[in-house]
Amino acid sequence: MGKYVLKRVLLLIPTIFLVCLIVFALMRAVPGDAVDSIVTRMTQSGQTVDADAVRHKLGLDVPAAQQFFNWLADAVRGNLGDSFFQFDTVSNIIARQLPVSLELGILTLIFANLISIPLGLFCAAKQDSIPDYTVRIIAVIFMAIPVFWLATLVLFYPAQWWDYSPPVQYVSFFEDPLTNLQMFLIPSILGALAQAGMQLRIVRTMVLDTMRQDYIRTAYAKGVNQTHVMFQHAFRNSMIPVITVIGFSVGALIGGNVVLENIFNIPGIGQLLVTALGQRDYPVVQGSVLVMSIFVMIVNLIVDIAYKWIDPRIKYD
Amino acid sequence: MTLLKDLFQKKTLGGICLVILIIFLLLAIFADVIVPTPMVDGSLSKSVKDSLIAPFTNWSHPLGTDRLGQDLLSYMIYGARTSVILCVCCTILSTIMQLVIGVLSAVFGGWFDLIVQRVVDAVGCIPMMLLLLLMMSMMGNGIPQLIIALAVPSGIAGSRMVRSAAISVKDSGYCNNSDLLGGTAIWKSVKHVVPNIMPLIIINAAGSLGSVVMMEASMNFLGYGVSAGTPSWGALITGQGREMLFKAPWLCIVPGLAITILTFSACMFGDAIRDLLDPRLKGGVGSYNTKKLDKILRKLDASSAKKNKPNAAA
Amino acid sequence: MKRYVSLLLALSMMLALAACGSNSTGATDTESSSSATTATETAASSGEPQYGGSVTLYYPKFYNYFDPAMSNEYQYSFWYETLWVIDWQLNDSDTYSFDAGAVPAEYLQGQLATDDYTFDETAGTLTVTLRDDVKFQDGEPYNGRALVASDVVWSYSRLLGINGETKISVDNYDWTSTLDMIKNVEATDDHTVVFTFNDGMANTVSLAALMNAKVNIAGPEWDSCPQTWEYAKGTGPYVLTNYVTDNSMTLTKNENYYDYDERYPENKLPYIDTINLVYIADSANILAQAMSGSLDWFGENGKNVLTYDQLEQLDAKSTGTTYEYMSSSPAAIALKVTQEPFNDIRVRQAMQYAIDLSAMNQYMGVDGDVVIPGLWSPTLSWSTVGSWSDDLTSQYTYDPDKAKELLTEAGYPDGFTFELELDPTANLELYQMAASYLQAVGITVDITVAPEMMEAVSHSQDYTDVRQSAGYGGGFSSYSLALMMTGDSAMPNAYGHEDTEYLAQLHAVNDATSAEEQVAAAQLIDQEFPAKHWAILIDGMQPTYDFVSNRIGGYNGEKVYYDQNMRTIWSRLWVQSGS
Repeated sequence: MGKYVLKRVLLLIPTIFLVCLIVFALMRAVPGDAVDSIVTRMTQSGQTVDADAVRHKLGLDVPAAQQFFNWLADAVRGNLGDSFFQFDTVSNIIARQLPVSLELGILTLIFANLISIPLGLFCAAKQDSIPDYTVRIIAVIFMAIPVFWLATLVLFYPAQWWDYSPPVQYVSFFEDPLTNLQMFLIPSILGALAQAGMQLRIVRTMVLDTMRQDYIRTAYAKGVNQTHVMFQHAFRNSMIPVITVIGFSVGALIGGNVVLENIFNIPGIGQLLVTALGQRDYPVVQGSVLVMSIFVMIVNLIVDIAYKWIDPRIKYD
Repeated sequence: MTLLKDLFQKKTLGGICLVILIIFLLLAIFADVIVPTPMVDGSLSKSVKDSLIAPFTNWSHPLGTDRLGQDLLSYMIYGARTSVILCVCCTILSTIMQLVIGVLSAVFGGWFDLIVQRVVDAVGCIPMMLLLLLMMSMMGNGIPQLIIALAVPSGIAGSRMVRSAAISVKDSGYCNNSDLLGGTAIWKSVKHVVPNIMPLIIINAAGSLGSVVMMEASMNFLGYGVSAGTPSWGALITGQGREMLFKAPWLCIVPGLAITILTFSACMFGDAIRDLLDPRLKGGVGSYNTKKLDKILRKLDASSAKKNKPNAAA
Repeated sequence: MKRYVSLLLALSMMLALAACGSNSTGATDTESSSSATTATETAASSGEPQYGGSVTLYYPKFYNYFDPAMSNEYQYSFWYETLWVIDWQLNDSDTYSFDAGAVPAEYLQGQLATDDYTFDETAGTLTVTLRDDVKFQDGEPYNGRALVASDVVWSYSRLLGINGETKISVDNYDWTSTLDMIKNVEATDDHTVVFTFNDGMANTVSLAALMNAKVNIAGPEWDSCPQTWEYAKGTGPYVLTNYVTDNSMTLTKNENYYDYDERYPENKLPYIDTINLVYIADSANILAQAMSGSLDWFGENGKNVLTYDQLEQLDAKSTGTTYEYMSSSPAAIALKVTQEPFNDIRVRQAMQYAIDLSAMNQYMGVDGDVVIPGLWSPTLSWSTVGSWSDDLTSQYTYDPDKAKELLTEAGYPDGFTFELELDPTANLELYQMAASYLQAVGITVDITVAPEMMEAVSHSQDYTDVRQSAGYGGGFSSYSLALMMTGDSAMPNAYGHEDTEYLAQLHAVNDATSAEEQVAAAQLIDQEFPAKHWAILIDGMQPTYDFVSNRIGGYNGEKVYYDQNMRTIWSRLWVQSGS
């Protein structure tokens, strides 16, 4: 076990290096750079600027390979550099925006589980019946509705009919939980629908899978009633793979909510990245992608190890 | 063919969804013939006079028109073409990538595998949306760019599953026999490994059809999508649809429903294919029904009770 | 099972009841609010000022720095103040077009300075007396101390790099160069500041320029404190009490503000307790907020926050009023005139003839607008309506036959194809519409939209790139664009103009000191350089607007989003009671 964990942790290092390399290379391949962006902005206000001076100031006048290793060397020491446009360090910016996205992600997961687990169990219990089909079809519909479309309808019609619109001014949860939750409620439910649709089907499959096991048959044979079998045996054992799936979707949840963050004015990391990408703010893009990727990697690692630890049938290889 | 038969017999809904998909496909192929107002030089006719006709009020524009006076039905059909092209191309490209990377990685093994898997890991843990945004801002807007951006990351990240399936096939007896007979790695992959993991590939491909449509729509919303002027459902919602919910709700609702229906059909079809092909869900107690089992158990209970009765009496 | 059914029934009945309930209350709400609307409308004209309340305003963009010298953004004017401000009561476009650059001195009034100053033309000095009742806001770093002349000296010195201060390099400024005429700034006593001009610079023009320079006044304590928002304090009517990057600012009333309302001289300013400035990225959300009454104002300089269609939906809710201003940014297609086929003036003329400008305007939903036919030059944005030469206004009315004729003459009887790249702020539909008009005369336009404005710029810089950058009204000011197009900036000469005379004339427009002079110079360009016009116009001038909610009292349609007007106007508005 210890050896396995060590091996996995060691393998993270080349992976992280590759993440840095991929993001760096892609970012430099994007046409135009921060210098253009700054020159454009200054020209807009009627000023003349020296592009070379700006380039030197941002450290973009050295070869790309050198830029990469300079940045990497700093990043290893925990210094992610300064933003080109916001007067702040990248670490500060991430520390500010990431928790906001995390809150949205966690709320989304909570709602997704509240919807998917009971319904998934229900479907498994009523396998191949009309209610099962209905719920599963609704689950697929959840997955098929474009979220920005639904979000627009959800924003517009309540404002039109009931004069309601969710708050747009961000307040931290610890300052004012009520306003904060009001702001996050609708986007997290919207985000949860698709996630719930996916999870529901996995819960159902896994529960059915478990119910096929010999010990369940034994339990039935012993005359234990169905509810008891469902909850005491099938549900508990099938939750292990379900948790794995939830773990793996964490990455998509913190990075994939760009659209919802944009529509509901949530100052999270997705919004930050879209802006930074537009401005070609290299340090911010590189830094935040690095932090998010490491976050995802660690979650995946924990899920993997926990999975293997919980389920002794799985061999370490 | 048996698969098709099974699909319609055992998974009627999946079959219906396949029909819907085929209808979309036909719409896409014969768009120029079907549409009420065909495109001229790559653009639909526009006229200020005809702008914002409501649906079902003027039968030369059955679904109404948009602000530019473009016929909405024609726009939707051309939009279907865009979606279908994306769906088909992305799925094919990403499946081929998964297959090549996964199988080679499994068959060669060793250092090659180790290095390739690190790249796969790296791509897999960068949040997908960010990767898409980066690639799209690198390549600019357009259908080919969108195909590459949507297919490449999922092709790389999805190869992991193919690899593990390929490994299990590779280690089986007949593959080792092929080794003994002097088969090269490529021969082995093509002759033995690929045919054996084909069901998995089909399941994956069918399952990813729907997500392409969704992704395209989301990318359009963020300003990275098909190039301007290309009919696209996502672009219609993002542009005029969201602006004119009150004045012309059909411009938002019609394309939204179209995306939902296409994605829904693709998902259901993918599900049905998986259910039919996944060996774990086939045969044995797997296809059992708890009610049926209950009945059997109850019968067993009853018979054992009957058996036990004389003893109790005694 | 029965239990479930009955539960379901009960639930649905409750839901139905709730829906009915909310419907009926909704109906009464709208009734009462519509009656309230008429009530507040009468109140708005005759209503009495009230203290208290809070408002939420849209703000287009926040910058993450708070240095008073760097704070060119309008939101900073809530707490930083300048010596002079534009007289806000003159502020409507009928009185004076404030977009025109330097504002003449008679339109300015004292803010931190008193209105009496001594200007000595022979000695080259300007002696300014400060108000003696100005105090800084409470809290670090000033702790409510009084404003003294040395603060003014410090604020100017660091912009000029004099009096031992290091010169602050400031970007995003259009007026810093006007400060170069100042030789020295010194304090003679606690309330007197003397500006000394460079030799030969002391005249009424430079005086106006100096008074126009928006130097925020803060104290030297700023230098030694952490330069974050918590310490961004000034003398203004509002204190910045919370800031969420890229999201919002909370401004709280400064209880010790010195100023009084001119209209009600007994009333101390400001009236409103809390002002929330919020940036909302998505226009559908802005619309929803305004419709539900959660957003009290939005507007942006020279730019429409919502489209006219969205505005129409908002008007239907009557939660507020929109005030329109004539904007001067017509959309245009810029052409690379050095390249075929655009090097032929007949082609450009044909393209202009092919577009029906009045239909385009109608389509944009603009009523009573002004159509300016004619090949476009960047100088157009300065000209006020009616002062165009007759030659220009009658020259290019919609005439597709003439367009075809010209194209045939130029050697393109079947038209041609060109690629048009828009920056993302441009109105795509408008260009698509224009393209369909051009299509009618055989010219096919391939429209692409650059995901980023700078990408469009970098493409337009490329001489060999046939893509044409177009789409104004969004990003560039016409003048900087003109400079860019003519090569007089850091940007390469993208559009191939190398005409120094033309350029000199453009400079003449910008350097003019009065509106009349500017218009005359602009007209001169239109008359003398018609062949240099490098763009074709695709719509007329469109109005921009401010939306003001019915809750707000004391508002008379002043243009809010303009420089210090954010402060001067909002400190004089109040929230109507009962709303």
